[in-house]
Amino acid sequence: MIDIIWFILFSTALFVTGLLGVITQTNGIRILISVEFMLNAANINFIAFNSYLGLVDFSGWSMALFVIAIAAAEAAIGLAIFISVYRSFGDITLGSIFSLGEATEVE
Amino acid sequence: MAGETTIVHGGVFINLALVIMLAPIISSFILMFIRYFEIKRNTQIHGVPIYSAILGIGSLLISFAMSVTMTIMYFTGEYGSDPEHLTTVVADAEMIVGTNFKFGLMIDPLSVLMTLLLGVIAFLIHLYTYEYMDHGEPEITRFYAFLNFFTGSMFGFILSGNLFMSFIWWEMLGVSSYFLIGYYWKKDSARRAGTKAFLYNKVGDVAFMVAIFLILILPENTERTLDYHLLAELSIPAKELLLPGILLFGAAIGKSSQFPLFGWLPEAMEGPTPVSALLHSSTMVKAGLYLMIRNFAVIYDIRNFDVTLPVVDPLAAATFILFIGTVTAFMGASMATVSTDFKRILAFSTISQLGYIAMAIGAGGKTAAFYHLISHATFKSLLFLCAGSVIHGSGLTDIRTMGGLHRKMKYTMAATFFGLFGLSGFPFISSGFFSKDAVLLAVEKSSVPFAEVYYIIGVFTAFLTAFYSTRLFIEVFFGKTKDGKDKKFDTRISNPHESGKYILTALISLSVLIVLESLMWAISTYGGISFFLTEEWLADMLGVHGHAFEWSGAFTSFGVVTLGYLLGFYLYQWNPSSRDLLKKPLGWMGTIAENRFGVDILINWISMGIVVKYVSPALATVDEKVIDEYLINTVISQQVGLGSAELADTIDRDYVDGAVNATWRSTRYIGRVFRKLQTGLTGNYAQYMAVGLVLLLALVTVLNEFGLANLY
Repeated sequence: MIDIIWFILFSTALFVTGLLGVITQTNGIRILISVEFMLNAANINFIAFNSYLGLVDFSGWSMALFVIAIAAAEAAIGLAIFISVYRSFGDITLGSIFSLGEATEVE
Repeated sequence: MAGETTIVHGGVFINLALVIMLAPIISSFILMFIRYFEIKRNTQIHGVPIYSAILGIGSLLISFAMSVTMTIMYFTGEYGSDPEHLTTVVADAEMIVGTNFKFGLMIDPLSVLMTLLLGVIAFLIHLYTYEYMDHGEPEITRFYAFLNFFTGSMFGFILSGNLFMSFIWWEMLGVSSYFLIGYYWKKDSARRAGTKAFLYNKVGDVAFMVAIFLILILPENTERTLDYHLLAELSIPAKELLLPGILLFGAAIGKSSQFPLFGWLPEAMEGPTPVSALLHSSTMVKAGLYLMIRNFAVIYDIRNFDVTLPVVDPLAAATFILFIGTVTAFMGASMATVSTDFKRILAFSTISQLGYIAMAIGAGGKTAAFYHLISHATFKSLLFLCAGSVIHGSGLTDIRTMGGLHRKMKYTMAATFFGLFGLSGFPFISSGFFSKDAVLLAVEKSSVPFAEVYYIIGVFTAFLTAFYSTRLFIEVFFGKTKDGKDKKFDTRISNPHESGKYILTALISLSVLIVLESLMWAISTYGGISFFLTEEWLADMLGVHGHAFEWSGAFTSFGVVTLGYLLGFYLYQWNPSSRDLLKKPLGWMGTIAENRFGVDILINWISMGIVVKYVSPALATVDEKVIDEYLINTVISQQVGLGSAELADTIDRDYVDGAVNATWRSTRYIGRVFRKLQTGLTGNYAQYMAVGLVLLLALVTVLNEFGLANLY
């Protein structure tokens, strides 16, 4: 049996990788992929702790299924939005899209 | 002084006095309110004139009945029946708590007798008014309101127990007389007359105020009292009384139309005749002299004499009063001699008789003054009512256009005869004769310097009085033209007729009153009977004795009065053409008298020429330059106004505005700081979230390590 600490270390590494991707990347698609990384890190934790604690109602597994469903929905909507954004602006670099925001104050 | 005087507080007399003075006042307020309501609504309520007449006369009937009751109760009861032990009833209530300004009432023989006099005369005049004034017109409500107010004020003045209260009623008299004289306010002359009377009276009012103040601060007046019964007990040296005495008489000069200020009285004829009758007999003009009689102690140190007249210090106010009184008496009589208007002759005659009363006061004859005041009030009210009757019946006012009225107006003629019988002082039987004799006797015997001169002028005035009385009577009711024919009424001008029953009731009642008075004085003088209403009794009641009746003085009066009658008959009935002969040598005197000795011109010159021309502009300059520019603009506005404005500005700008500004500035600052976080870049938000997550985990870990929170 693999010790629980390895699961935690792995999921943490995966989560931080996703987080770094979200922070550093500007391309919408890449951010979406990084978010998937983070969600899957959470899934690993759910499943590992379900086994570790020996939960017979498998609530960790069902939570992982929820997360997969949400991730799928998110990916579908996110990709649709990005396609729509790309059609409007010709670009999906998030930092350059601010037409709904307030004009930047000139100090 | 005759006997001791006891002071009693409160009692039934106070209630009576309150009823007497408040009945007309309350009625007048009701009438004023009704008239106000009518004018406000611009309607005329049906039957108001007749009901206001009933209310106006009815309230005076109450006062009349109560004053008779009070007189009988006072002089037959324990208070006033024994001259040796008189009782004065006083009552007061503090108007301003802790001061000597009080509501005060005082009931002593003087005020009781005066109240009776006013009650009788005012009631008859109100009765007379009912017929004399057009009782159908709505304005009559106003007339009754003011007439009642006027009479009520005089009752209040008579019964008031201290100087302050007297002053209040005195002012009410002044203002109500203004309304009454200017009753026909649509006429320009009536408005002017009202204003003139008011302004002339105001001069006296100022003197009165100063006199009250001076009496208040007399060093002997340690209690700072204004009550008459306490003032009479003070022992004040004559020297200190000089100025208050003169100023009090100054008040009487205005109100009682003495020498320089008599001009308003003839003008006051602009008011309706009942007003003149009331004004000249027992109210207004008598108020000033009543005040002098009431404050006799202020003119003379009253404890220093017994039964004889006071010894007068040459400096005392009495000298001044006697002088003014004599001048007034003489001037009034001579102006009456040359005047041609019926009512004006009577007005000038009033001035002259008031001068007599002032002479008596100045000579120390308190009793003589009051004596003449009573008889004059009776016959002068009668004469004015007669004049009203003649004017009402014939529509004329100038005596030269009258004549031969004896055929048409028999009763009025008889009443006028009785009035003039008193006024001229018909020798040995009329009331006017005895009272005038008492006045002349007091002047003759007084210790005032030059008393002889005043006496001679007084006697000459008596001659003039007899003369103008005869002239008035003959010119109105008989008379001959200069070519020796009987004077006849010009029927083209008017159609004279006798007056109706209300007027005649008043005339006959007053005539009877004069006859009764005359009989009383005559019986008491010749019969030596002193049980009721003799001069001696009056003297006992007032506490000052005059001189006993003397035949020598009486014969002097008899001589001059007879001479006056004869001259009057000669010039106007027997030989009218001889008037032209007199015109040349004596015409200039007549001109002087017709111009009122230039007194009015002088006053006019002083007021218009000096006051309006120089004093008023000077005061205006002072007002503009000193008060407006310096005091207001410089001192107050710059020092006080500007300073406080600056302070307020500082508070407003620095603190109030500052608080508001601080709020928005800090809000903007916070906004500026935090808006920098809102970059709009998703990566940044993710960074914050990561940092937040790390911080949260660190916090949880730390708290868990120290056991501060159990998160598992």
